[in-house]
Amino acid sequence: MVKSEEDLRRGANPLSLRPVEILDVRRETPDVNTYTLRLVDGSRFRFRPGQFNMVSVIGIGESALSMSSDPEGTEALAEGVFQHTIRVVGNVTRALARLRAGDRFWIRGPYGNGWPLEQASGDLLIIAGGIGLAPLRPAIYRRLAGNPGRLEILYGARTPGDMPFRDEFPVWQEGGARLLLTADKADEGAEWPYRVGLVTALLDEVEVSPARGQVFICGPEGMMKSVVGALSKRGWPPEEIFVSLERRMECGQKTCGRCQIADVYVCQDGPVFSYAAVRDLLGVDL
Amino acid sequence: MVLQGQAGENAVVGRDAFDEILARLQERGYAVYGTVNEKGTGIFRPLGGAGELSLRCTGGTLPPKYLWYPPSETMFTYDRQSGALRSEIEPVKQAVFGIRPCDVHALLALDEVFLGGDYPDPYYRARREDLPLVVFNCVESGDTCFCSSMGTGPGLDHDYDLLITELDRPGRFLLEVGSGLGGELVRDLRAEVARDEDYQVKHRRLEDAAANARTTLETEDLPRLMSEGHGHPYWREISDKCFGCANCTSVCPTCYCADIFDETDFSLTETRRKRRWSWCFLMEFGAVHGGNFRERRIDRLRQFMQHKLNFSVGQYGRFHCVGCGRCIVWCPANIDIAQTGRTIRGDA
Amino acid sequence: MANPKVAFFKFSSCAGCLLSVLNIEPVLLDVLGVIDIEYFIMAKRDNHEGPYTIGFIEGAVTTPKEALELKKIREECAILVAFGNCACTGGVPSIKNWSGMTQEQLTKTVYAENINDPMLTSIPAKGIDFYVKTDAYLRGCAVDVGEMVELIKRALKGENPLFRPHSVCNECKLKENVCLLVSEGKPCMGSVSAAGCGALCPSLNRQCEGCRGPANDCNAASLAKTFMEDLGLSKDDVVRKFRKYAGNTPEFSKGAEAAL
Repeated sequence: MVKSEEDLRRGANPLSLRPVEILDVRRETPDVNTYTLRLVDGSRFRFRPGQFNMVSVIGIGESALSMSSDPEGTEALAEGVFQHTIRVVGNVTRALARLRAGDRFWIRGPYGNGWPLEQASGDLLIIAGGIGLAPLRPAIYRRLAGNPGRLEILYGARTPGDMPFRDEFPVWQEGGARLLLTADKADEGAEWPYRVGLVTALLDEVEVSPARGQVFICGPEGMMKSVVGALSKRGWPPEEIFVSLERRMECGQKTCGRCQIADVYVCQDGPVFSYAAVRDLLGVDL
Repeated sequence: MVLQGQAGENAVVGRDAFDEILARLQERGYAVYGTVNEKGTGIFRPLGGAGELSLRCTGGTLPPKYLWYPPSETMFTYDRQSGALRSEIEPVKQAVFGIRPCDVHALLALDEVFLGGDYPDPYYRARREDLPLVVFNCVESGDTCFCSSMGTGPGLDHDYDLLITELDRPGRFLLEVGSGLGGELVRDLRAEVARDEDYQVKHRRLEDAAANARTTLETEDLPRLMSEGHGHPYWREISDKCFGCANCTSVCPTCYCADIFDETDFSLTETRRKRRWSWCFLMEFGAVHGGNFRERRIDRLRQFMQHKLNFSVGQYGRFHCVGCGRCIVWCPANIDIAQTGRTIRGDA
Repeated sequence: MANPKVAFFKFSSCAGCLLSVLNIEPVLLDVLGVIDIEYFIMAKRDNHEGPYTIGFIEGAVTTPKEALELKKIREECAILVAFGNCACTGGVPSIKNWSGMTQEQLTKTVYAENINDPMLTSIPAKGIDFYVKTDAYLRGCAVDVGEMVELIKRALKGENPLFRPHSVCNECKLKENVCLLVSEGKPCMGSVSAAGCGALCPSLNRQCEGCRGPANDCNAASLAKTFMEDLGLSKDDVVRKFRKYAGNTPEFSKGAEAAL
């Protein structure tokens, strides 16, 4: 990645790509896969929780996708391994879904500002909807790794079968996280001991207090809007609520203009913003 | 007298000096572009000789932006068989003879976009690093120019290699040398000494041009007023008229939005990743799977104007509208960005 | 793996788009190298039945028989492309839809002596997507062959061709044409018409007639008003302009209605 004059003098091109090799593809749900990856050149891919890559399938295009693994986990540190958890929605993601272990694709990044974990010194409430859990998973692991504060995770998806990382939920709970789950509707025949309904309904059970915590939210914008509204009613200060906004991103470098909302560029000034920062931003409906 | 060819040197020259300056640029390997009279207006073209040069304003159609930011370019090629990525960025030598102050400000705005961030763009840099500018100050105001309102003209006092201002008698120009290269272009040319009266004429002509601007926009506190006016009924009024043709964004010298896409040849052996101009005005600009962030025409028209008069100040500390007036000239629905600004802020 | 099979069909049209296919000499060999043209009556004697990978359909549907054939073709083609303006929007054949006559009256007027021929059952002319799901559109009267080649390339890889239906104005500006509407007061429809032709007509100093149909989200009603109020066109003139090529489309319908 080019970030310095020196890099540029060396002739590096910030829009150029690095190849990654797929070590494993795990099917999380019918339309979501987790790819375990390593840079082909063997170096360690460093990133912060909440950042994203521009992932290329050359010939088809690029897609902005968040990293979903623990950036300081054992595999990351020892072998430079990282993960992307990707839902099939368009041309690029469909092409990625056809790839297998041993195949390669291309990335450039990391881009974006990431979740403000350093600021989240007190208790942390994480609220995710659908595939929104993927960009939060790195933050969950970082918290479990050493922060003594409370960690509560509220997670909702269309059905239990649509939830990625289900086999990790017990691991998170054992690590000290309190997990509250809900689905819009339960899978037929299977046992679902949790709630059925919207994520906002889970807020009644939350123990983390607005006086001592932060909230990280990621999911469809409609869901974020109702969650933010419900949190505000419960006294959560807007500076302590953080959302991850999605916009159409093509360059990741503030030059293609597509991700602008008023005077911010989601690709670099975000994608994570405090609710206080975006509440009055023209063009954001939260 | 004879020009020494030093930065800071001034003199009065005739039109014959233009021939020499142009020839020297060409000798140094620059492709020189300037305004020629064509189709009843000033159009920006490659120049063969200085005789082709028109002193008319470049507010013709396309601004010179395409020289440093082409409508379409290849970023890299990918050999599908070997898996190799190749990106060849060659520096490009171009010069502009007769760029106007508003367009220079637009260039400086794009410098901040492409070179001012964490990821300096090497494609832009290759075309920008070696770009001699012979600037023509504007001594007349066009119908739709409002550079004096935006602080981008009619005169310029920075970022030029040579600065030329037409004086009272036709064929007499005040020449100001702004750089070492500018000096080289005029060294040893015969010229007249620039006297006090000449400077007075320059200032008077520039002041007259500003005073005679037929379009104006008060910019004091404009970003805040534009934000507060985001819901003003005038937006509906103009978007009802708006054809949705995106002429405005096509001729704007500061627009930089782009598409990045991949193109593969028939034999499927080589893919090119390309960048081409796009416009926030297009309906599909904000489209993502499952939705569109800016679907309505009123939102897109408003985004265009808000960006130029408001959001760009928050992003870069300057208005991206440089008052060149091209969008006003070419809008077939007679929508006027300066009038919109005045209406939203309540000056109408 | 066998080459994809391609077929070209024709309904009610002038055959100009199909003829354009034969004009792709510069890339003809490349194209023939990657596809097998299985059905193309205009060009071959040896034509085969489906199924086909890509079917190109030229022409509007103006008889019940064509509608039935179209449905059969839809089943035989994995990818169906509306080829040219008639197939996209109904095109020139659709002008009759606003004649004010019933279909019977129309048939009698046009085919006087042959009025009793059962083949001549005329129905309002529509583009093919009125009847069947259409996967892609190659606009224009006639099509731009470059776009066709691009579409074949992309379709072979299973992708969306990246056509941008913005206005012709963008292409005119990139060519530094002086605007016929603004500078010369000519009733050019480029500001509301879909680009892709390279602003072919305005570049030759002829106003755009909208033969590629409307640009995305254009405001034809506003242009209609400009034609009448600023350029002095009569209501009838304006209505004719918007109904000549794509009167069936919602955008150009609004343009015509603004003048009525």
